[in-house]
Amino acid sequence: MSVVAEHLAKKYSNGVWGAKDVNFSANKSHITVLLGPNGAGKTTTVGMLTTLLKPTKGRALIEGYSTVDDVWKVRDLIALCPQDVRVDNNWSSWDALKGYLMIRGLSSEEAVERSEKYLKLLDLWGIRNTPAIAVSGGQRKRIAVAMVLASDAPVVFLDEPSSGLDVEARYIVWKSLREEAKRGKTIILTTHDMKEAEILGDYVVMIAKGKTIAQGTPEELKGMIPYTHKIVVKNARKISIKEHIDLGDRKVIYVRGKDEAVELAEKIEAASIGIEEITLEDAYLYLVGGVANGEN
Amino acid sequence: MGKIRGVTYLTSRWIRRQPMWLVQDLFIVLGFAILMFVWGGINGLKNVLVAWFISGAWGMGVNLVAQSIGWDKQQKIMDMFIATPVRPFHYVLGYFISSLVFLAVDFLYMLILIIYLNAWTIVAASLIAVAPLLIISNLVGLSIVMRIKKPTNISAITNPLQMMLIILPPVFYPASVLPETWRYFVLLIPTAAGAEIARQLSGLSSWHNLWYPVAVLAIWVILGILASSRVVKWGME
Repeated sequence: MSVVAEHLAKKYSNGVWGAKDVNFSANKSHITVLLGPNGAGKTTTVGMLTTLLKPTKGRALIEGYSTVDDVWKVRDLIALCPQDVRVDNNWSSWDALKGYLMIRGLSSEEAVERSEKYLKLLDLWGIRNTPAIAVSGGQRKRIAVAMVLASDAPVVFLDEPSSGLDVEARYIVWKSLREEAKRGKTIILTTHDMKEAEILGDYVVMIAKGKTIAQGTPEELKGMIPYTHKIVVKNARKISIKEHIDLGDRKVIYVRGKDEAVELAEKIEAASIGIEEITLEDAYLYLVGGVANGEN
Repeated sequence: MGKIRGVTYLTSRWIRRQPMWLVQDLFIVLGFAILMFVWGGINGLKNVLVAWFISGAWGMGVNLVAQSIGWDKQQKIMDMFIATPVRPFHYVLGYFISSLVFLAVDFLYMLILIIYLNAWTIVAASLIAVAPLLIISNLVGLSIVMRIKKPTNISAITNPLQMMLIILPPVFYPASVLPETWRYFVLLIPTAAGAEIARQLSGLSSWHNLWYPVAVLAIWVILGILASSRVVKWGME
């Protein structure tokens, strides 16, 4: 295992628990997604794994090294793109990558060569000499992502790397992340975007209220709930099924098989009725609902 | 060494983007030299040399290095740096080297004056005083900026602090012009103590009491270490 988190917990000096019991492990060549709502404890967990924060309880290992006892060794092995990072106004994307790679111990020549490759990969080559103050927020974010991906760190952490990016930019980042995982890197990213987790993640760790509530591949997680399909009803005129999620003029009914879905749909009178396979979002709502109701 | 070069490379980018800061610095140096010459003649020019070394060292720590590091913390750049093989020593030294540009440029501007006045003794004496003052200004600056939560407060606090301790106490003027009882009080200010050491070592001061400003700077070094050690952390918080 490249990254191991065992019962990680962090209590801040103001008495608030940022994380209470986070457990997971991440493999090489995989993208592991820490999925959870805002305030779930994802950033705190990343902070503990990247030696920014000292765990109050539990332990974390990076390539077998403890994040507390072997801090400097761990720092040699990791790269972090923090949430809401803002690269300096005076840096161009070229400066940012070249300087960051030199900081990581690469020679000037190696840094130049690698900067060119990753600026092209992240579609930043055209603005390589533009200072960060003059580029868009999304481009600024991509510069930070490019910096960490261009590094030779075997374990890369990205805290909400696609927040604030438009659709096109998001796909550019996703593609580059998949390529880096294929090259053997361990990538750990946080998100609250279910679609991102489902598309990008080889392994998904669901976190809520500071605790790991479920983990597995997206398919395994979807298999953890007792439903396979859902019926989405728009503008229902008559609906006799009691157990459904009420979204105003939309209702969602979960069912245990496609046949059951078809059978039920025939009994509903509505403007439109759709039958869909369940997604990671449905699994998430079901599993997190358990935490919210005090079942975990 | 490569890591320090990397930090220096990144932290010196402003020179290319905002070279006018250095031009502005030329006019400030020139303006003060004229002002001091008009009121104090050659002796005024000699005193301005001391003042520039002291204010350069103080500004470098409180204003440049500490302010830049404070911004890095607010913008999460520091978090990025912590999660790398960079050690705090590489980081601070990299910033220090890139900030030396101001001192170096000031020195170049002053070189004409130094050669004209043959003031190499003043330069040597000032450099002796600058060494502890650089340590103090960096420690004090870091102790302040690392406690600031709101980004807009960083320069709002450090800029006045820098100016106040350069303009008000005896930095551009000798402490010996003040009544003796006052001197002990004002020389508790690190910039004033540094300037007094340089003046006494170069013979510009009529007061001979070197132990006092030396003791003051030694105490400031200890206070700076104590104050900064509580807040300056490289991760593991």
